Amino acid sequence: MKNKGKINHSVQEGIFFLLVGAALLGYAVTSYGKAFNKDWGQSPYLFPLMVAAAFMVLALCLIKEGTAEWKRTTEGERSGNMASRAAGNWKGIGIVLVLCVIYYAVLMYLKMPYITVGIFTFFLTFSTFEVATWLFLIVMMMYMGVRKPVILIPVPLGVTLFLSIAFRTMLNVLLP
Amino acid sequence: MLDIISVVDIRFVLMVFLGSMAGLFVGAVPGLSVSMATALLVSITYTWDTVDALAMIMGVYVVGVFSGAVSAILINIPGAPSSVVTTLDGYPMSKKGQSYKALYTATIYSFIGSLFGLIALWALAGPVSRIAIKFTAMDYFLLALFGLATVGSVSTGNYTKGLISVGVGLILSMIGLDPLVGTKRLTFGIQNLTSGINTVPALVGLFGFAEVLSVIFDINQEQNVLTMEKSRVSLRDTLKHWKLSLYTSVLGLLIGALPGAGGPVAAFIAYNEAKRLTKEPEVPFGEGAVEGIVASESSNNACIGGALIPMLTLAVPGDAVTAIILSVFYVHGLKPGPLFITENPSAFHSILAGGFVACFALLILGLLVAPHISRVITIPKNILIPIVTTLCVIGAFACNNRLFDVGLMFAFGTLGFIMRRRGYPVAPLVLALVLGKVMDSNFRRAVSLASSADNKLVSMFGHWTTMILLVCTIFVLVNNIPVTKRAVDKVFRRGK
Repeated sequence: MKNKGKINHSVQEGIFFLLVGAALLGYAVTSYGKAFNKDWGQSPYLFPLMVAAAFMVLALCLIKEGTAEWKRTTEGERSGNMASRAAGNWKGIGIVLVLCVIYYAVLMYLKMPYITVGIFTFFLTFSTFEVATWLFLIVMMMYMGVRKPVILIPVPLGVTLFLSIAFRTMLNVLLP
Repeated sequence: MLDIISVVDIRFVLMVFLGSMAGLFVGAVPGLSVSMATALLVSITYTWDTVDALAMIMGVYVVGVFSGAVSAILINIPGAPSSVVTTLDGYPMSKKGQSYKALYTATIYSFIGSLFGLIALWALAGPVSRIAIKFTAMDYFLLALFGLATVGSVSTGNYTKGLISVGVGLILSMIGLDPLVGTKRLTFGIQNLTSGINTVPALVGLFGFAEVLSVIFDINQEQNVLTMEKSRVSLRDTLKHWKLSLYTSVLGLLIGALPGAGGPVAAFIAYNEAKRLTKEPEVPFGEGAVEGIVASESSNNACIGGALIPMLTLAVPGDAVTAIILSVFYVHGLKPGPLFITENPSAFHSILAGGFVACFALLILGLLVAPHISRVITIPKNILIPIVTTLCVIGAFACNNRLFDVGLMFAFGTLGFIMRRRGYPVAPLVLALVLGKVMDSNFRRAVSLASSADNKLVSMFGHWTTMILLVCTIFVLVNNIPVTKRAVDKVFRRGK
């Protein structure tokens, strides 16, 4: 049967790792060339060189295994394997990663003033982390299928307050 | 013994129990893991007193390894990788209405296994340290290499992929200033990478955020929770498997001491041994045999003591959790190695005391709380997962107070998820990340020392410990790399 241009995953990964190994090897050799110290035994590039060489050998082994597997299996089995690998919530992974990047960007670039609320001797401090986390939890829970407002608003708020009190106030852990 | 008891006070016991409660929760909830909890704890305990930090971490570790059995028995999803084997007989027992008996057995034998492992740690750490003190720089390099070669062979079905994971970890460990002369390597002009990749955000990402992504990926998987029917279980009946428990505990201890092997491998081997040794089980294995739970739980808990032996005496972690605990030591200024017990006796005694107290916490929580935990372990994933993501952000940030580490955590989480999907084990990467700098510095030290000797090869490999380690490493590599393995097999076949 024809392969229809599909390439075995192990072969693809092997080629990728081979390129990584070659890049590291190139980096080690060129950096060594530029360095003042010309003794390999003392050179900081000896270990990268060794790892790169071993990594390339492993990548070649992976390519060889992938090729052998390719020859061993039939077209039907290959299609089945690829379908089972592709099955899963890839769209969900993409959305969650985008949400995390937005959350990270907000924590990184949005600077809100610290607001401290004092109740008798108990102090509670709010800042970017509390607001961003509350909103992040709401959006993430909504994405994951929570629809009831009874859960959607109080649970993220309660969790945020709990985390803030537990870490910032009680454990003296700095928060973003 | 008095040294160990002198560490224990009310505060210490409280810390261990707090850690144990956390361990019970994270171990039992599928999607949370002991490695994740320990990684998060490292950053939180950064500002704490060392004894408090060790007490809590030992609580999480000991009880967390046990509590994986709770969800394995009740919902057929192991809470921890080391409890995978427990599902084989635990869940069938639950389906027959014997979930309480299964949980009771798991608790008793986890207690015995943990206790056995810790007693062995107490007895063996000293002698191992005395041998380790004679190690040369090349020995340390070979020991780390042996560990990485072993972890590649036991943690996955594909040895090449295991070793590639090791290679990725070694490459990542080289980022930053080199350990001997302080030259910048692989930083690509990024200032935040000069100090290297911090282990904590990497671990939180690889174990915490990767788990979040995995749960989202398989979000449609359903789980059935079986109801707990409390029945009378006799302690005498339960303890009749003590011989099997001791045997599998010894197996667990030895496998735990092998760098990288850990609980899942120990439980698997112990289960097979139990099947071989138990000629006439009351119920066949796989259909609810108590012996299956005895073997699995005794061995995976005995691994705790086993994994701590190389970590404390050689600074070579036995599994992912001990790799994280190793970073706790560094965070608190402690230096594991041959001199650790003599230079830091109080830290060593705190670990032992924490472990022993955690064993009793395991017994109490396992018998009293675990049977009622079925409601907790089924917290809807759509609420749990966002909270875990936030905890990962806090854990990654708290260690250095840098948002760069949070980004690093997300990157490592994505890497860990992709690796899991493609069949690359994460544990070898973690161990390589931790051991990379040790290997680099010791190898170059050995080469430098040999450069002034008359016979360079003898200087590097002439010591008896070096020769043993070299033979062991070559044996593991030759025996596992498919090409060399086939060649060796061919030679032996021709010899016959």
